[in-house]
Amino acid sequence: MTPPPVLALRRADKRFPGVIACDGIDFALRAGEVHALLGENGAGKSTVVGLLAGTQRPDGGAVCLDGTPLARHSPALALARGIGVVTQHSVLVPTMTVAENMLLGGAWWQSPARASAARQFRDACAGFGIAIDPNALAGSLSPGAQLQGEIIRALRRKGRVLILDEPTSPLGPAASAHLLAHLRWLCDSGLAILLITHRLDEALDVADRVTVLRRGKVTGSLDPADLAATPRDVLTAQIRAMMFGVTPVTPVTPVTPVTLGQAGAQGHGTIAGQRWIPACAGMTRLHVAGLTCNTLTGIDFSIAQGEILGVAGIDGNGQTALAETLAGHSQHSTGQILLDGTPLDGLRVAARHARGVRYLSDDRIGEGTVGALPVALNLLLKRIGAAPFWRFGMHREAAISEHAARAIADFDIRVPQPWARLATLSGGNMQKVMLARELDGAARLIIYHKPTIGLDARSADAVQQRIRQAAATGCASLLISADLDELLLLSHRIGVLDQGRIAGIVANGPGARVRIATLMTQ
Amino acid sequence: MTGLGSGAFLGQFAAGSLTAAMPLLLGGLGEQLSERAGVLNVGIEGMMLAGAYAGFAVAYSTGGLWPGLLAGAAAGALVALPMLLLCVRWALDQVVVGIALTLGVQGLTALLHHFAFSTSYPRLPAPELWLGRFPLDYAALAMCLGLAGLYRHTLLGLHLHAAGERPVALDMAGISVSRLRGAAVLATGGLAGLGGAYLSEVSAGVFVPFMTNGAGFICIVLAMLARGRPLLVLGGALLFGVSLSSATALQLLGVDVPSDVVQMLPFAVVMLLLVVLGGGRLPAALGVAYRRGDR
Ligand SMILES: Nc1ncnc2c1ncn2[C@@H]1O[C@H](COP(=O)(O)OP(=O)(O)O)[C@@H](O)[C@H]1O
Ligand SMILES: [Mg+2]
Repeated sequence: MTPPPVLALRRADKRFPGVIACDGIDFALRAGEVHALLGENGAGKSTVVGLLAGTQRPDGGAVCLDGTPLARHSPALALARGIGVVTQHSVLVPTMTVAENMLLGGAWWQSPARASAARQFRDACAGFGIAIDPNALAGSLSPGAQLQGEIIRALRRKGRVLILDEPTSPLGPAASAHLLAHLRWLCDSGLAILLITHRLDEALDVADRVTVLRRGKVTGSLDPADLAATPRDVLTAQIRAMMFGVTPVTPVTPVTPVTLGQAGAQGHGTIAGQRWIPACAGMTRLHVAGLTCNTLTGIDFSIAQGEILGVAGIDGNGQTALAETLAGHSQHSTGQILLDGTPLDGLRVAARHARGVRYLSDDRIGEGTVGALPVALNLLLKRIGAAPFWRFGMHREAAISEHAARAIADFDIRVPQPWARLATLSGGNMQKVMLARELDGAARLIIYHKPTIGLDARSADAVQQRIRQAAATGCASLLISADLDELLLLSHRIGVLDQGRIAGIVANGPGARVRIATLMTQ
Repeated sequence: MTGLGSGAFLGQFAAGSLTAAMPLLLGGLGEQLSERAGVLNVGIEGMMLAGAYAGFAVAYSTGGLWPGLLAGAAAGALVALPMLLLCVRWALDQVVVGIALTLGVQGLTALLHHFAFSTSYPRLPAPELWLGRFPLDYAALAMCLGLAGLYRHTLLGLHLHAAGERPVALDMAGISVSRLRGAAVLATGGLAGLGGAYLSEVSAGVFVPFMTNGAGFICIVLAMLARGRPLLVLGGALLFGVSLSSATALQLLGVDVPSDVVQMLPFAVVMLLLVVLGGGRLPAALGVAYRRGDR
């Protein structure tokens, strides 16, 4: 009889407000195996890690260790039972040195043996073939070095299970390959390893077993026999199908190509059953060349009048930097940004706003709006003090109310009255307030950063309609989204951002999903 | 009239400054402990006031200062208990709870005082001194050094730092954030209560409603300015002690300045310090409740 898996989820459920992150997941880690867990953004991979690590409590089902369900799982228990976890986002204390971070968790009365921790850490690094200064503040290290530090900490505890959530994302190709080789070696010595990655090749290079998640459910798994028997390209196609919900052979539906000026994109997608054809085929509005900052490298693209350029990619590959650099929030970039032929470089937010640049932040509550202020004022947030709403420093309630009433009617914002506090609105209505504010007549370039995140289906629909309408008036739109379906619904072309570079730009149309999926998982 | 430069006057002035500084030192060290762990304790004013009342009442009824000081510390910790439950366990807003606690204690102590002491206004005898000072003064100085050592030279110190800076790091290292923060909140209550008891028993010898008069808030400022360093709390407390006691000295000397202006002096010093030294970094997770698995 084979021994039970070292660590397993048995029909585990986990719900968060508005999403089912895990829906009856069965998943097992066995000694001496690398088990790759794959799935697109938001599929529930990190939640599986949380359940196994004891940081999330399952709403149903169980976490089993050596075949026995754990009654009360916790990070402390995980440590005690030899389950080492390296989470997706660093959990080092940035204001402590690396060595001090290694010491966390010991008996409280002990004196921290900084010197010996530093020595041990340095030795461990050497054994791993890397060099990290143990006396550097953790926050001063690159994300890749922080991750390596955490892996070393997890390995030093000499456990039975090692869980790595997207360890190769912050690492360069060489460091990734090095890590994967090391993992292979570790698991041959009996460790059970869970590896999450977006790059299928990496997974197939090291994994003994593969499980694919999509929207909180296991959509497929491959055991060692499958992996050994099937050629690599067939495996990749199968896995992509499981990840993105496409059948490996995409049925070809004929569409009428619509030429879009120099952009040369194809229109594709429907809303409410109507085929949508871009209204405006025109000149280049936005031209970006060689845009580079600390998280972006050599970004080139242009957007035509009336065109929506989608940006796909795993979170944290430079999306925020791209949005904020274009909007003028962050100024430390080189390269060229031309809007209708005039450079935007060096202009700050207000100056860019005056030239027609609009930005819908993904941080609706923090950056985009002021919850304590009434809706009417939030609608004018970027025009406070300006006529005709303010005269001689006094606000003119009648003008403000009238403006608000118009926006509320136009954008179908559900609010009891214009002077209600914004914080009392639902997420969808907050987003409509932001849209109403940004989509004024003078907009020329609109940057949407995850415009429908967290919205219910109806609100998301309404927001998507607005994005279309705005484009139809000739605005250039940059649509950054983690939701591939949304990108395919709205965009003319879709670029994939990977480690701060554009990995490729795909014209929307049949087969686009597969090509994007390929670019995202290379 | 005594001259400003006379030795006797200066000696008294220094002693007065120290006595005025001591409650601020104790409270400030407590607040610093709690802030290190990531809990902004706005209820410290209430905890000091509770300590002041309990300390005075027990010292008056037992005739002993030390039982009074002990009772003061216990009362401070008792007021910290709801803070522990509401803010650490149930993740409610720390500022709101802190203010509510302060207001509650202000009302309660005023009421208790009204029933117990408002007709007699009893006074405690002057405390016995040891080498010219009340013995607790030496203990407080030692505690200041002790805490500095604890923060730097024990894992507890590292754990507190992690709890205030990145609690999830501590949780993943197997240490319970809520237990550590809870312990820090209780200890803060105890220290603040002790400071309050010192105020009523040693500095004043009487209890007057609302007698802390903002001392708790000065402690918060001290802790924020001193960041993680206990010796800076000591320095700040002494500075405030000097400005508090110069307010008294100026009045004694009959300097012709309205007393309201003189009493503003310590608060002017607070604002000056904030302007000059403010703007540094506070713990990243200060004031943010931690719940495992949230994001
Ligand atoms: N702590 C949390 N609170 C609320 N929602 C969460 C939390 N963690 C994850 N989610 C949601 O659960 C879903 C799955 O997330 P996650 O497991 O992080 O996906 P993945 O790691 O596969 O990208 C997402 O919709 C995400 O927004
Ligand atoms: Mg994840």
